[in-house]
Amino acid sequence: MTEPTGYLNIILHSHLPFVRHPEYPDFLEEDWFYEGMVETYAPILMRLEKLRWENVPFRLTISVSAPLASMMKDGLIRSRLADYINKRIDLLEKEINSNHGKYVQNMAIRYFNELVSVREFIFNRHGGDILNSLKTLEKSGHIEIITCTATHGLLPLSAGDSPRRAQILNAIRSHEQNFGKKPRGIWLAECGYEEGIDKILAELGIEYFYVDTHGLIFGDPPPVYGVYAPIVTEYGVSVFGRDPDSTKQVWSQREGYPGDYEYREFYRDLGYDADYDYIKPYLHSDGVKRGVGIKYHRITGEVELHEKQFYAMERATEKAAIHAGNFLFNRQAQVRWLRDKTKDPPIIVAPYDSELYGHWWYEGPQFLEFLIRKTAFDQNEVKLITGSEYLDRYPIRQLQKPNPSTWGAEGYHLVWLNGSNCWIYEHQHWAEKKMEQLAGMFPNAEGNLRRALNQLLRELLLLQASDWAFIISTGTDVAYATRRFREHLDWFRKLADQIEWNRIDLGFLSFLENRNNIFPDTQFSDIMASQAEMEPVFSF
Amino acid sequence: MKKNRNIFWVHPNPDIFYRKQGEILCSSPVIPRLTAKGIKLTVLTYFDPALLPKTKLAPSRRLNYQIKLADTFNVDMMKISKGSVNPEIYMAKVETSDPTVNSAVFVKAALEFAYQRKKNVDIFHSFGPEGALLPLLLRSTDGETGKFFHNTRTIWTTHVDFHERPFPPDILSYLGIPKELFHPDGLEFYGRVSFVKGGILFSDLTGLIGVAKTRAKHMRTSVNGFHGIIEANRNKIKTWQSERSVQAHLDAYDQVLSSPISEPLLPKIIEKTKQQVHYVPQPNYQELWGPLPPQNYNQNRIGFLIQSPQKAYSFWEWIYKDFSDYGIVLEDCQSGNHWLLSRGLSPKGEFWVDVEPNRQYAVEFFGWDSQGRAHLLMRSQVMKTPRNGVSDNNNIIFVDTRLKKRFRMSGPLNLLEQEVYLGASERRVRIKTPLSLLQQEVGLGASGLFKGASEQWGVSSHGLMFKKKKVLI
Repeated sequence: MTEPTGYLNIILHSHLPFVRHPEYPDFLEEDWFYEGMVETYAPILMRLEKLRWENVPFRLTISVSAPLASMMKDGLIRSRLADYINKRIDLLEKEINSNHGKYVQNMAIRYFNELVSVREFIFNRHGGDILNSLKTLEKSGHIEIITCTATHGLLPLSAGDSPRRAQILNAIRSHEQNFGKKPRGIWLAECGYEEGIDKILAELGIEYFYVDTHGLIFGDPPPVYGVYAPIVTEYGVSVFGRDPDSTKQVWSQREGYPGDYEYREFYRDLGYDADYDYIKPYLHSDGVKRGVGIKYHRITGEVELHEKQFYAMERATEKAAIHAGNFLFNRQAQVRWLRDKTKDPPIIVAPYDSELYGHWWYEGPQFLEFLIRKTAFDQNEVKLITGSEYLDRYPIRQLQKPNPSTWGAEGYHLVWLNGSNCWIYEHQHWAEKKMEQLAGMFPNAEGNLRRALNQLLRELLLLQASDWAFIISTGTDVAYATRRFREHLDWFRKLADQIEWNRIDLGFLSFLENRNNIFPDTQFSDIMASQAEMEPVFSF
Repeated sequence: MKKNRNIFWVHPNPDIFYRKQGEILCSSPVIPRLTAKGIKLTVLTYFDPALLPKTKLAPSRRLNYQIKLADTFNVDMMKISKGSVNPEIYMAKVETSDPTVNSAVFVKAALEFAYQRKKNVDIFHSFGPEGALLPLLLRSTDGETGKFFHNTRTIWTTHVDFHERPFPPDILSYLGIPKELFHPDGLEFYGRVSFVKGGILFSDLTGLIGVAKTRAKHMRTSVNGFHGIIEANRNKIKTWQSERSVQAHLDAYDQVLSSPISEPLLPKIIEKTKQQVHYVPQPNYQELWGPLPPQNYNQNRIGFLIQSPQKAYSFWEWIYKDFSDYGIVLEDCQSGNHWLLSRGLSPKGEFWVDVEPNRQYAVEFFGWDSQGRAHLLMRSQVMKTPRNGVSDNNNIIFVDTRLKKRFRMSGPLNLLEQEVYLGASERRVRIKTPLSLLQQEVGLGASGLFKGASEQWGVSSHGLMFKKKKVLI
């Protein structure tokens, strides 16, 4: 096999907070998951399976967080997902039979077919368990699945190593259960890295992780090959740095592809456009008009929503192909220039939130498919690769201490720690310390005490999710995020009290176990300090 | 807009003026252009000694006010423009060190001054987070002053990326603001008090400066958490491309003056709160926002988190009883310097503090006994701030990670260390400016990163931190 000029490592980071409300027959925020399944995860996996079937070679890295995997497996959520899809299909049938004009009818037929094939893919092909698709794609060597911190906890903002270890341990355990093997790599939530995290990862057998560009560039010593070669920390964990250029081309609000005027407009939706009585049966029980995922308009330009023009799917598809070509052309130019400056073929690390592809950027999965096809057939300079594969192939690496950093605005913790959400941390730190203290008090707990301690850890993990601070910061669904954090804290406090005073309320415990059923095999001892102190593997 | 309108600017930034050859000049083109259009402008800004004339101010140009909050504060008001020249420019010297109290006193002084002059004010235009209190204080003023300002409108302008630390609820009583306003429809903001929210709610018009027209909404922007409030008050929010836009000012003035006087919000909220006094927290509210976290945990504890290379956050709680005073100190662990951040601390609190990149810090909590001796009571964990630039360490070492795998199979750490150290390390001198080459020739976007990362944070320090004083411990 000839060596290409360079490699492209695309990472699709797949995460949603754990939103499961069996106590309500209909819950608005559960739509995050249903929309993700219908618009992102299923469309991407359908295309990847098709590419595999056509023998198109490709390698992608997909990180799957434990809450997302847990919701994908959950029976209640699955049945609600089926309802969600069926309701949308009903609405599309109504649209097809309506007299809203030829254009609406044609588009509705297309969306109808799309949704029916998504339903077919999830429920018939994979029996409702889409994790199967991921597993088979990994087995055939087309994707590498890596894990993510257990509940997307932002590790540097935790109170010390023990809670960080609990996040990583539960992530690994959950990954092993879901995919049958231990992950080699991890996507640290929000790319949040701080000195010492590499040591915990090494102890737990994780071989590599990703940081944002400045995590590597500002590392000590500076990286000789920039972000175009992984480095290794003194504890033997390898680190890849995000390529700013390929990031900008897709993510940038001004220059990014998803803002092209031909692409579908996200915010203009039938849910708002239709007459209230017409759309009401498809809204949530509160009757508030919201998006229903059926959209007939394109971005058009810098115009108001009511001035948007009709969406032309063929033109958008053409644009997706052009953009995939342009993306690849730029990567070719990049690796060509880099090749004589790096010892090994350079690697371009391009991570994205999976939900960008499909949910936010409707044509994203198409773009991805075009990119894979073009990379396989139109050139031989750039090859797709996964993190593990690159590490196995090129084992000599620069020794470095990466710089503490995150991705997101300003590159540090500004989004997750600011005036609007800083109040979270005094409570989170208290709970982390309390958990450590109680785990230390009852190291050999059995029976109901053990059950209660395990549930206590679940509540802690759930309140640590970076999603709450993020949502409060961005102001998108502040009441819900605040409520989730406060609820988990409240349950944690009550349960901790019951444990401390040896008055465990078994009814309450069962309620929590049923309500927050993530991490069924968690062990409260995960929070306790490691017995074997890890020593550096390499020295500066 | 009609001529001879009286507009009163409450502008906390004295940098919009400078003194040249004895004359007070404006660095912003807005003021001269507004006055050229016939608007009578009075500007009150914070005291800046650079704006004082070389000669002593005549007593007729100085006024003194006593502003009452929970304490009484002296405010020295100085007129720095000459005669009856339009605009009339005043500075207010406020003798407080707490920036929040400072803002409140400043704004109250503005109202008092405007009332004492007995000149009609058509619009109070306040600026920045410091000016957010003005609309609220104006609307909560009663008696003769309240009657006097009955027809006065308020505009509040701020940058869209403002950053405010919400305050504990007891600040309301300190500032003399009705405590009933601590309500979701009032100043309550995630369990704290937000004056920025108050600025939006109580002004007749809010100007948000710097809103990009085309913002891809999926991008992770807007980090101040006020999105929902802005959306809910969209009808009275104007987006301004720049604070230097004269047209934006004129349009805003026209709009508020041509609109009917808005129904006072304050009595409505107070009435609402009174009705709900037996339902705190009311069921819907609790359902939506979840159970309130405890006010305290009755523990001695201190937390320290790094927000960025230049900013850190600390919170504390104490239950000590043996000391007469408590204070918090920032320790620079590398130099050994200690910086007193504040004394006279309440049993629970938090602060933001400026730090330097790539240094190790801890915060320490001290108690002072009756003899004035400081005792270290608590110390946070040591935190290292990130670097905000490229390291100058040029010892580049390469290792063969296959050896690591051998280690994993074989086990003993000390053997492996030697093996790696002896066999795999390959010292290299850093190649000539590899990073700048990358920036220039490939245009990989790295230059943008360097630029952004080395710039100072655009975060206002208003209300965020205490003044640092170096002390010996």
